[in-house]
This record gives sequence, structure tokens and C-alpha cells, in this order.
Amino acid sequence: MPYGYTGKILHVDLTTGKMHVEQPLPDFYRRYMGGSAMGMHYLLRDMRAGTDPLGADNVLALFNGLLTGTAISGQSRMTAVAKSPLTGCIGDSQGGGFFPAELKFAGFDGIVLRGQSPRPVYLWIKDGEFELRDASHLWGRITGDVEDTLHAELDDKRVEVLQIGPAGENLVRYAAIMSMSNRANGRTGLGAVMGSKKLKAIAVRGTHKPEVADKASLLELTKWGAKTVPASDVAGLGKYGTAEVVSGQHRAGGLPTRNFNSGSFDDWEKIDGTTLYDTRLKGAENGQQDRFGRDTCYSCAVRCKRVSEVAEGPYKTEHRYGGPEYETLATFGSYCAIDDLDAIIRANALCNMYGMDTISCGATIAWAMECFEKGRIGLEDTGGLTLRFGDAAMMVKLTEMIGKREGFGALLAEGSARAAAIIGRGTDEFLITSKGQEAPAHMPQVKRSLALVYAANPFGADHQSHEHDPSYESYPVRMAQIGLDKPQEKLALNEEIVRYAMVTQHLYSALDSINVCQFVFGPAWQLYDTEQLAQAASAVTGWPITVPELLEVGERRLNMLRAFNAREGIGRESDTLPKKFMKPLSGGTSDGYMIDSNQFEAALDTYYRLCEWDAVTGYPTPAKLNSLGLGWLVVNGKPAAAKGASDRSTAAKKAGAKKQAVKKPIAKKVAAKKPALKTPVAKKPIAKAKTAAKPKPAVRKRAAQAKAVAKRRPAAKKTATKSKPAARKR
Amino acid sequence: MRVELRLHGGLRELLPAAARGRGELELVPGAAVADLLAQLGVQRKVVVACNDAEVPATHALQDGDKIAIFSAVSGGQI
Ligand code: SF4
Repeated sequence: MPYGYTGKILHVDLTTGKMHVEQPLPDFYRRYMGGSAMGMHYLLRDMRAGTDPLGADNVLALFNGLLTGTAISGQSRMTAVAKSPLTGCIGDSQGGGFFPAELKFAGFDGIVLRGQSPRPVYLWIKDGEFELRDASHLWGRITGDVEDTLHAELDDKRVEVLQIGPAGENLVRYAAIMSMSNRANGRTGLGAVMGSKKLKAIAVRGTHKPEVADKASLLELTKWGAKTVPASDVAGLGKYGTAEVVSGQHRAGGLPTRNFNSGSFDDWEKIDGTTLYDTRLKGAENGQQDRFGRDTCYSCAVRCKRVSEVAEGPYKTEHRYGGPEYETLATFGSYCAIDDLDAIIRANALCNMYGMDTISCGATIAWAMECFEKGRIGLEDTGGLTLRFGDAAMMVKLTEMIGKREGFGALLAEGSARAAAIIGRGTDEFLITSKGQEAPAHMPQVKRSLALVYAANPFGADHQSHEHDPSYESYPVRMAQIGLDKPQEKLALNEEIVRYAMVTQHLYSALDSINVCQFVFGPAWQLYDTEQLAQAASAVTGWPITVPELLEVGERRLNMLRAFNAREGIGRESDTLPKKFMKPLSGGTSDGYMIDSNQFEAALDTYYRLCEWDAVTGYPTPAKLNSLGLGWLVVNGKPAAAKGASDRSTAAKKAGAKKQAVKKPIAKKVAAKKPALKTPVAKKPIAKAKTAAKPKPAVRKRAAQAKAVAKRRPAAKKTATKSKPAARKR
Repeated sequence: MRVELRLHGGLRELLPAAARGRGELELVPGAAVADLLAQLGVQRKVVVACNDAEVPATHALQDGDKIAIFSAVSGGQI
């Protein structure tokens, strides 16, 4: 087992309840490093092309990373990958908090979930032991309640809970996977995948810290980071959160307003990060917000997370549901022309209670507001609701209706692109989606490399897949570490900007595989630079990891994502921008800015050439896949489908991928043998239950019922593998 | 000469907390934006607006100018 890892991956078949532990060989770890790339290995190996994202055959892989669980800032991250119910493409999403580190302490580098449970269950993992338990009493309940119930049931408040809310159960297509009731693997709807599997939660508790090869070097880097935060470019991020950028975005004309019709919001000060800090963070009334109003992820010195509360009024909100990030302030705020900070805090909390992506949720509501104002939808569509930009009460009401899939909310729960296809009447004119995913609050009209990355990113419009334009000029020393030394003029979208987008995309892709926070490690304004990341990775593993190796890991993962889409027949024709981005913005400093479609297509051509992908299909070429050690994905000169590929993947079908794709070059299976957990309630694994219970409707279960279920539950099956040697306590 | 200041985002830390990013600054006549930034101790990349128009570091300031300073928006979420 390599240093830094547990060396174990838990496989769970929710249909049969069978579980086993795999112990991959070191080469597997070095090749993928963790996170997204590691999860993609299983999706590409085991999933059929054409799989229903909400069906039993979708594979949901959750992986932490190489540094996870060590003491350095920015390491407690987990990536979820599965086929996305929002986009039909690959789905990928990162989240932080304490769960990722706890999963490693509990003995696992990742969990691969297959199948569909006949009734709601949760997975309980403790120090290498695991079991599935009945979750009927949790089904239908909001995140905070579930967390409290599991803490009580497992008799340990230090248990970390990863879960879906009612939105995931209701298959809202942008449902999130939540932890701490306020951290989200938010994007691409993977909470709905978990919901379709009837897996309500994963509870973990562990006490085994990862072994580190070179403790002294890692400690030095850790201390340097903690000491440097106050004087670094992330000091403001720590104090004011991501919301610090509201003012700068408005000034640059890059604060999406009224569903991306403008980049300037006149009332931006009311939703600014400093206003949030001064007035709504916990402790603000007596100047104690640095103590009570900021939260963190496991062992991170930046402490950028918000703890906000609204003490009274219609938007009364308790602080356990965190506070809005910049994206959330924008989507529920400026996108909808809403300047009521309390309403935004409430909408954010509702998303965290119900488990929804705040970006897609707010953006879908903004789209509906524009459709209504411009007469493309009416009262007959909305069930009698009048939608107007600036109506905070309606925005909050719609957010809850979406989480519950009630009335008009059920249509909006499909996401704006699907809703537009259902309604028709030209409502697609107001979409801001790429591959069906709503654009985050960074504007391609103002930062042109985003035009390329929003369109070409395999999992839809995303702002955290590369470094944005201004950094090229602002951080020359750090950029030189990754071979970028020719900053371009503002608004350029030439070959060098395309190269900048691609190289930084490879690096960000590595960040999502090593699985570190993009605010702490990165190529520009982040706390640690790329060379320091290589040093930290080397110190943990003992491998001599270089910057080029990091870039290659990132490029490998990006090609895996593209190969997944290719076998679904998704390529260049899906690498598009919404029509709205080709129209001029109005007002503010970006007045008149727009994307030129010819320039955009030329940039795409350049991008495919630099990526060494097929210019016509946009698929990774066999030569490229081979060069990245992904030859097992190539059959007859094309990215292959996995075992049992359906008719929907013509490329894969022709390629006859069966034989090759199931090859597992570097993993060995270990039969599970461990004795059962000694827990107060479980007597038998739910997986063994003979009668499949009907799924519960989305209603809260009373405590008495919960107790009755617990009593009925027989003993847990003893299926864990050997645990790691004892380590320091957390 | 004196200029009126408005420091946005994390930049307001350069002024006393109670000022919440607002204040005035005494400068020598003929001072440019670069002098103002040096006097404030600004080290990060910023955008400066003078009387609501974006200006370069070489811009010469006048008595009574209203100066707003913003963090330059970078990648990711920041
Ligand atoms: S910078 Fe913020 S999001 Fe990133 S690890 Fe630290 S606290 Fe978590």
C-alpha cells in the first residue's frame, strides 16, 4: 500500500447488498492519484454506454485524495462521478468539509456504488467495518434532521454524514450530495443518482490517520501555509468568503444580472461579501464573526466557509445551514435581480436542507422569470404564479417548490434546458446552459477563455475547471511553473489563450484527482503554487512527483471524461454555447460585450488540435489515449464502450469493445471477512432482508416509528477487511 | 491634496476596521495612482477607478478625486 492512502476501496452493490473490499496495486494509485480520475476508472471499466443515469446500472464513485486526512490545508476533498441525470454526459462534482478526511480515517480511499436498493438504506462505516442499514426512518427528512438522528442513533457526534436531502429522493436533476448539512458536491445532479439508488446516507467514523513517507517535509509545508495565510491573496477569501469578489465582478462587468442580460447589478453592495460579513454572519452583532461566523474544512487554515443566520422575519434561518458562496449570492441575487440578502440566505439554506445545487437552482428560476416577463410562459404554465425579476418572496417560494417537486417546481426540477424543451415557444432563447448545465456566475463575455471551457468541458458549464483570464498577467512567476509565459490582452481568444485554458485545465483536472481545494492549491492566487503541490504530494507518497507528472495526471483524467462522453456519442456537436452569449450585454463596464461565434469556433478548432483530439468528432484520438496509458479504452481506433454497451453508443458498438473494456490491469479483489460492527441497533444487514419495502414517500418519519424500525433490525453481517494498524487519534 | 477613498472586498483591511473601507488620504500634489497604492500598502493586483472611470497606475490625481479600489477578479471562485 502506498503512503498516504489506505489501500482499500469499498464496493457496494445496492441491489444485492453484497459488499467487498478491493486492494489495488501501487501502480493504480500512481496512475490516477485519487478523486475524479480514480472514480472514472470504474465508470469506464464497468458501465454500459447508454445507461439510464437514474437506473440501477449507473455507477456512482466517491473518492477522496492523496493528501486527504493529513494536516495540510485544503486536503479534505471528495469527488463524486457518475453519469449525470442533468446533462446525460459524464457527471463530476467536488465537495469538502470533514467527511473526506473521516472516510480515510475509517479506512477507505473511495467507495464504488452500483445497483439500486429495494428500499431506503444507509451505509455505516466504522474503522474498516461496514454494513447497510435501513433508512426508512430517514427518508423524506431534511439534512439537519438526518444528521441529528444518525448522531443519536450511532451515539457519536463525530460521525460524518454524507447524504441526500428530499430533492435527491425526488430526483431533482440538480440534486446535490451534502455533508455537514451545508457542504455540497453540488453540480451535475449526482444527489439524484444517489436518490435513485435509494441510498439516503453514508455515515463514517474512523480513527486511523494516513501514514506519510516524509513527515518533516510535509510538516514544513503545512506550517508555512498556516503562517502565510494572513499575508497571502487568500486572506480576503478567508475573511469575507468567496463573496469577496462581488464588488470586483460588478466593476469588471462580470456579475451576471437578470439572467445574463447584463454584467452589472446596481444593488450589488447589498449582496456583497463585506455586507454579509458585517450584518449576517453569526456573531456580527458584537463583532465576533471571525470566531463564530467562519467555518472550515478538516485542518484548513483559510477558513473561508460562511456561517450566517437570519434571526427573524419571513426568511428566518438557523446557522447550521451555512452561508451563501459568491455563486449563490449571484444566482439567487443578481441573476434574479434580487438584493434582499435575507432572502438569498434563506434560499441557500433551503438548498442545503433539501440538497440542491444553488447554481442550477437559482439560474433555473432566473430563466423562468425572464420567460414569464417576456411572455413565453404564462399563468397557465406556472399554476397561477406571477414571476418577475426582483421578487424575492417568489424566488424563495420556488426554491422550496423545486425541492419538493411541487406544482411548477416539478418542471423547474428538470433543469432549465429540459424545461425549455418541454415548454417550447422559444424559451430556449433565454437559456444559459452548456450541455444542459446552467452557467455559473463568471461571464465568458468578460473572461473569454470561459467561452471555450464552458462549451468544451465534458460535464457542462463549469467555472472551476481552469484558471480564469486575469491570472495569466497577474501571476507571471507561478504561471511560468507550468510553461505559461505569454500573457495576452484582455478579451483575447487567440491560440495562446486557448493554450492557457488547456494547460490550466490540465492542472485543475489534477487538483480534482489528487483532490485538493482549488482555493489552497493552484497556479495563481492560491495559497500554495504548483511546485509546492508537487512537493506535498511527494512528501506524502515518497514518490518523486514532478509538475509535469501532475499535468499528465490531469490530462489523463480529462481524456477519461471525454472518452466517457465519446462512447455515448457525445462530442463536438455538444461543445456549444447558449445563443444568449452571442448577443451584446447591456449596461455597466461590459456594455456591448458578446462572444463572436466565428472566433469561438476557431478557438474550438485550436483547442482540439492542442488536445490532440479529433477535430470533427471532438473525441480523444487513439494515439492520445495510448500515450496516457489509456489504451484499454481504444478498440478499432475509437474510444470503446464498456461491457454490454447498448445500441446508443454506435462508436462503441462498432468497436466491439467488450473484450477490452473489461480488462482490469491493476486491481485485485479481496474477499471481505471481518467481524460485524458492534452497534446498539443493527442485528442483520438490511441487504439480507427478504422483503423489499415500498419506498417511503417524502414525509418525515416520527421518532417512535424510527425506534420500531431499529428494533426490528437484525444483526449486521461481518464483512470488513483487516483494518490498518493503529494510528493517532483525531 | 486629499482624495476620497473607497476600498472594496478584502482591501478594506488596509484601513481601520471601523472605517469599513471608507476614508480620506492626504497625498503630495501631483501624486499618481501608483503613489496612492504604495502609501496604502496595496500589494495585490487591483483595479482603480477615479471618479468612476478605470485608470492606470500612472494616472495623476487631483484634489477631491473619488477613488475606488477593487481586487482584480481572478480565476476559480475568487
Ligand atoms: S479554503 Fe475554504 S473550501 Fe478550501 S479547504 Fe479551506 S475552508 Fe475548505
